[in-house]
Amino acid sequence: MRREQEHSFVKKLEKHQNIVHKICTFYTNNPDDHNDLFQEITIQLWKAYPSFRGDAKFSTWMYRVALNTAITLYRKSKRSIKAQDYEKVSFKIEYQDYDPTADKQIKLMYEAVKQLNDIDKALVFLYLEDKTYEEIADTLGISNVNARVRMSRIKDKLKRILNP
Amino acid sequence: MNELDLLKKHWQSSEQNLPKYSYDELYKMILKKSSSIVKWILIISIIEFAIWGGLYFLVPESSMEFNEEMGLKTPLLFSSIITLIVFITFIGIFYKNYTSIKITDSVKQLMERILRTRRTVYFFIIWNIATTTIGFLWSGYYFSQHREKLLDILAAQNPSSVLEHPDMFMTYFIVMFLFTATIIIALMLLLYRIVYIRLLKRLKNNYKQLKEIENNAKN
Repeated sequence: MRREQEHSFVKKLEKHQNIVHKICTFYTNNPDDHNDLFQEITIQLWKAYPSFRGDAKFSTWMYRVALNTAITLYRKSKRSIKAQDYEKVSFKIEYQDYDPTADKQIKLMYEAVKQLNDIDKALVFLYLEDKTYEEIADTLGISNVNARVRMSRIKDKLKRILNP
Repeated sequence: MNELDLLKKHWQSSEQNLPKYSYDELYKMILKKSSSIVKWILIISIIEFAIWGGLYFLVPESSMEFNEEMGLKTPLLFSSIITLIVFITFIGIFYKNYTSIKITDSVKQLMERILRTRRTVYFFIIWNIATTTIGFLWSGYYFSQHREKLLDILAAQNPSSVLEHPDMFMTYFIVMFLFTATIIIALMLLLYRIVYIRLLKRLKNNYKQLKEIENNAKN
């Protein structure tokens, strides 16, 4: 029975592991921390798996557990975070029509997002993942209106950073 | 298109650059142990409860005899019963709060539940420090009110110095008593602050951010 459950969980995680990697990329700054956080999220997902009900989407359920782990439960290791480390794990840009201006802007955007606090990062992360404001508000435990207001302030903030 | 939408477009097209773990690597991960703050809160809280509970069993025999001779047996028995009731109540509340922590809650609910669990231990420690302080102060007062009796008992244990300079000995006794009490209380507060701040600093900051979102939206 347990073996079956382990198998079904690992299969699902294998399929949706990108979600966890993306959260790790957002919340850590070097490969070691990325792996540590991935490990902790996996353990928390596995521990919570018995409470997962098939009627919900596995990926939706994952967002919540993974973000909760990254924001609340994860204890950053002593391998301290250096701002310049972020480039090692941030996404490489592979444009078919390479545009150096956009490349620079994207890079600056990642740098700016990395400077946000953990909660704002969660809002931006869910926004980038194309989640609705209802879903964002529900995941964070704030009201829909508050999520919208905050998001609009983050957009202004990022605009100011990029166009000083 | 605003800046964030530009990033969104890039974000969604960049999945292929993410690392990928195999089935076996993921399977190995679920067998490992968690090092989350909830686990640490449980471990540290159990240690804290155990230390305070254990202190009551560490009172030396000579101290018990001394208390009995000073007429402190009944007040100490009374305070021990109250302490035990409070101790059991705190453990019950702590257990209830701890079991209410669920990773599938919203970020805010999860933070609130962790903070509530930790707050139980915080109040337990505050209660202990407060009662220890009151206990020390009351004992100091009691000893000064029963000076003769105290000197008799101490003289029986260490006759020469007490009998030669009773006033000096009494001053020395009270100063040492208060000094020891202050050191013990200061150490308890310091240890608690170190553990508490180290463990929950980030969580508390994040909780503050969430609360700020709610407050700012109202303004």
